[in-house]
Amino acid sequence: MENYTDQEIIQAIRKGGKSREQITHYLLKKWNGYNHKLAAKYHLNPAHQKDAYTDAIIKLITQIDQGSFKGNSALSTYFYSIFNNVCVDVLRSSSSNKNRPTEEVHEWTSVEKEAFNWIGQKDLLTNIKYVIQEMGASCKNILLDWGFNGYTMKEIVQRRQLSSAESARSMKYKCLKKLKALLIKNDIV
Amino acid sequence: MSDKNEDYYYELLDKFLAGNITKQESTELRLAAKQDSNLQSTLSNHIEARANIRIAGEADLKKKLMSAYDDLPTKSEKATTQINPFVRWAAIAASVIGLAFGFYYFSPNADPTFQLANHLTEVPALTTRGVQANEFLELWGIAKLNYQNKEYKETIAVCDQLKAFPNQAKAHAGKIAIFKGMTYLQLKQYSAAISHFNQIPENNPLANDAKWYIALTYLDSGDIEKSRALLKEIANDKKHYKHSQATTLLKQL
Repeated sequence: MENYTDQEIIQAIRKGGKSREQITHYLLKKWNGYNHKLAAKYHLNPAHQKDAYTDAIIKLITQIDQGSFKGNSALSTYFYSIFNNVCVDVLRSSSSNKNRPTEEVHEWTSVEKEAFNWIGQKDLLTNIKYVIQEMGASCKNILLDWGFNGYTMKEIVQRRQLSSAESARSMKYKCLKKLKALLIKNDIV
Repeated sequence: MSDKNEDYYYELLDKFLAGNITKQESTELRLAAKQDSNLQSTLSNHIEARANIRIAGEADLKKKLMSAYDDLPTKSEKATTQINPFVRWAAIAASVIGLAFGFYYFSPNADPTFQLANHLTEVPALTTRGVQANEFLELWGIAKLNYQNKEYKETIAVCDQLKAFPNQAKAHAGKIAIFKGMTYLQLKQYSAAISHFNQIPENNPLANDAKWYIALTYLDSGDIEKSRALLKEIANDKKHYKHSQATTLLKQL
């Protein structure tokens, strides 16, 4: 397996698109040793182990993407610390909610909270209103390609078989507007 | 507020959410939002829309990773990998030779070589209470992990961040100094190590640790005479917790 430096990994994640997709799968393989180590430490069953390990990788990707990782420690150490916390969370929720159906709660990241605080919107009491699933697949896919996976408009044209970068851009614009309108509608209801 | 302006502030907000906004841009964003309550609520709506995209993206990625996870080798698969018989016999032969070498090397008649790693004990443990205690302890934990992973420069960098919690840092100044000294010793930066160990006052309970580590630092740096003098003091002090180790090291010198 090829070896990448921390800097190369961070650059690939922040660049988005294909390079991000590849590096994510590389990380999944690279840190599999930690996976076995912590699963043994916390006596996680295979399902919880799989859940915790993939969750930790996703948390790391989001934190790098939002610039929360400041490079104060090696990336592997940072990941280990995230994974350790996720394992504790998984254990806690599996032991306390055995008979209760799990209701998914979507939480703000620290950067999102900071953004609210920065623009002066301080009363952040509610969880995120998750309305994007009410949108059609084509809109949702374009928004994810742009806003989460970090593909360029040119790449989105190829992935979604659109006619031009301009039409992709306009579609993204309309879909984002639609999503915001859904959020407002949900707020009123 | 024109549409063009709105898009401009969305771009700034996107930069903020990606952690690459400049100081000037973030100030501009803050001022604009404070002066215009409509803009403020539009921007809040934008943050929530971006959060929706993030969560949907994470769910999508989760599906992909869950499926890729099934292709990863499990622990038992790793352990039961078929080994070529020739390689197996070669490994056994190498182990026997290694054991014989180890027996010669570590037997009392062999030439004793000082191994620093054998004498550096665990990083001090911390307990603390207060509003910021969790963050302080978390940082200490990351520093310890770095140390255990032999990432010593990162350990120093994280230890330096502990200063952000003045109350806790002051209360644990001795342990932090010992930890940093140990780390500098691992980095072979001897003068920095000694200067940290010397920060422990005589009446501090960690003074015995500091004395022991200074002796080790001199020994590792090759300054045998200074090390011998300190080791003698420790060996003669029956109450010192490293009394017997110091006696053993002195015999080897």
